[in-house]
Amino acid sequence: MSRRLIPVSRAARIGVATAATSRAVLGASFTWLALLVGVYAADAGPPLPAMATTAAVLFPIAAWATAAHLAATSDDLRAVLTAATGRPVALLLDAVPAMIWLIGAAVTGVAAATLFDPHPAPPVHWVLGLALHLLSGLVGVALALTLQALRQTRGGQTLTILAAALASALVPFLPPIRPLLQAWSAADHPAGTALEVWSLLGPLVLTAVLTTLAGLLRRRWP
Amino acid sequence: MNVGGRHDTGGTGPFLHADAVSWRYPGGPWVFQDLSVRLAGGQLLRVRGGNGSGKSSLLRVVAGCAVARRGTVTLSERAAYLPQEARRLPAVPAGRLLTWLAGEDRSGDPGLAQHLATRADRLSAGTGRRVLLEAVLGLPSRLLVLDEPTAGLDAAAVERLTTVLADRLEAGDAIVLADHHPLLLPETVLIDLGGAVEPPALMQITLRGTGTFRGLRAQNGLLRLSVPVADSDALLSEALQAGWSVAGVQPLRAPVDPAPEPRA
Repeated sequence: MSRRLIPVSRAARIGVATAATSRAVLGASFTWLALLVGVYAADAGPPLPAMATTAAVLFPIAAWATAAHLAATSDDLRAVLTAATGRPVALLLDAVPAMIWLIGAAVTGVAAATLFDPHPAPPVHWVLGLALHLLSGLVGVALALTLQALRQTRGGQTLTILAAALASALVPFLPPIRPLLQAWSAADHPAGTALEVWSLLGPLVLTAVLTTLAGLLRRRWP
Repeated sequence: MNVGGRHDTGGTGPFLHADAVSWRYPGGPWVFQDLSVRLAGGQLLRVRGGNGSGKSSLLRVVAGCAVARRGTVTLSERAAYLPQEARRLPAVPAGRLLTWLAGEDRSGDPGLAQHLATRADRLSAGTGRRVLLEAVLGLPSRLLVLDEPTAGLDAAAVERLTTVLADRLEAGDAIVLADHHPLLLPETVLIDLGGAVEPPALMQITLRGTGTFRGLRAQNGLLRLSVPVADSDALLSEALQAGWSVAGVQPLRAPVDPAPEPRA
């Protein structure tokens, strides 16, 4: 196939403008900020366990924000962009505004810990906290892309996101929530190396699986 | 609706080659089956059918938005695709949206100039579609896939669109078109997906003469036009008064074969 008809940088502005002007992500954004206020209103303990907790909650909130943004995006514009740039790039274009939101949420989560957690922590903990937020939120973004590709209703998406968050919190080794909390939420009880690695690698694996699934599902709908 | 058939427009170097393409929604019945078509530069493929007959699905498959359940679609380049509607456009000025899509904020449609500063999400449905149509026409592709491009257009805009598409065909571009109210364009290959259609049929009128008629140029002394049956008398009268002679008038039928049984 020949070159794209619309450069990615230009096409991405459409999605970002939609996210910025539609107010679709306001609900998720305010919920995230309220959660941070709730966690750090009192002494949240050492920063790393506190950030592990907020990172775990970012999974369903990022999925919510992404699902809301995708619902606000024009299916007709998406079809134009898909024909002009190809299906994989169109999937990427849908993910770009969600990724920008996620980066903002992750930075805010770490900044809140930096500013309001009274306990000291080595620099590596802040970096690790940022990574945990990004990885956990990444799974949420991929889950929302998959649900959108499945053509689920908004109500169905909400239920699925809640069920996924619950399953991830309860099922051992199911990324991102349970491994993340097991590995990093107890500062005085270091987890094993394997669990720490899986808490970082698992979200990446699950994101890859969900994104591939979303790409395949999108092929089925004209 | 089951439709099978092979439509070969001839020519070399097809812009579009669909081979035994079939489509159905997940869990649904076949919308169309075993459809084959080759479309070369300078040729127009018109897809006709009633509401729900699968025109839009076929166009989305042809444009590369979706993958056929069976068969293959090969495009020489990415298609400039106009969907049937333009819903939920972003809350940015229409001119800016045009720039992001087509790379320039000016419009060849003079009727759009006054709307370019208006937020795209506040445009009427028809004007929103005109913005999208202008953007799609501005994309650097020689393969246009247009789903109901005349919907929401006034008479002047339809005439302008006809001229633009005729020029694109003359320049060697290929066009796939689904339209309830057929545009006056030459060299039509028709795929009929069935269902009730208004107007019910097209007439192909061949005029003999030189020069241009209704913005279309004769080639080798002949000019072929496909028009709705209801418009054919008026067109013939106008052509005769303009000094053209009529070389032929015939109903334009879809070359549709009996549909094969669906494979499991």
